[in-house]
Amino acid sequence: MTRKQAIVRALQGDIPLEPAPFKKLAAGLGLTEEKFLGTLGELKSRGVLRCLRAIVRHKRAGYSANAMVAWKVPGNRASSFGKAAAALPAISHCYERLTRPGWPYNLYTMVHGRSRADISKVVAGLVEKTGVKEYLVLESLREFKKTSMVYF
Amino acid sequence: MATRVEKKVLDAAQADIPAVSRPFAALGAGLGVSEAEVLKVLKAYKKKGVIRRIGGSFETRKLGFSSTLAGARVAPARLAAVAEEISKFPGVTHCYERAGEMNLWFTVGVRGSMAGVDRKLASFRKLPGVEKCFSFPVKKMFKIKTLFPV
Repeated sequence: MTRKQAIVRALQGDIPLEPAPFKKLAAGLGLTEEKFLGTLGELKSRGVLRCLRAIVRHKRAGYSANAMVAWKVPGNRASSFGKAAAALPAISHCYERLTRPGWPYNLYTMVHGRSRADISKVVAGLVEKTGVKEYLVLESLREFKKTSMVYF
Repeated sequence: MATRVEKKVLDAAQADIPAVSRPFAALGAGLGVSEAEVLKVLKAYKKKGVIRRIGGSFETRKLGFSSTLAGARVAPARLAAVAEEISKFPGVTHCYERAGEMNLWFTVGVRGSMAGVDRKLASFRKLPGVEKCFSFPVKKMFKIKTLFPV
């Protein structure tokens, strides 16, 4: 395993909650803290590492209503729709995806709120702003799995 | 209810924890909160289960992985069994039952090219009860920012 892979492996799980967590992770890999942070900085500047952060279980943080909304957006308006959706704080993820026969929806937004009414409000706002009227609200009914990717 | 300090720490920690020798001191410095207090809040919310993980968020593609979102129609009587079987695969990180014709949605990531993802999906399509299963790979990413103000 390369040093980069070893560092990704150290960070794909939990970093220790102590004052100098990288010193400890580095020691576990036989590296100095300086080397570890150097590679970390490199991964970040190359965009391999988006960021270090706390990942919250949104339901436990009070966001009990969550829906994936699939939108049918004309191809030439996908970009402006994507930008309008991305500007909304209640939308965490927005992607344009390939369509399939019988499935014409090309834009996907993850919408979070404290109630179903919150979700409806966000969707109605986006309809009004973009004029896109064909969409499906795919409410999440049951969570079977939610975890982070294990790379190495 | 979160206190004002807890709220500040949790909101900032969801955005970006600095990649420096004393990250929690650096995070706190921007908020006027001590390193000890930052650690205390994060530990408490981790213990409560509000925080699932504190670590790196990676760009899957740049690590040489391919991934997709899959939507499937599964016979309702077989839904839970199929979801459990699919979820056994480590590259499936999210798996949800959703309302609508396509009632099971999951992500699949594998090391290497999209052909590996497609092979995995082909094996899922053979599970009893799976009536159809489409792959919807990303054409363009507009936003990934999960931040839930507490």
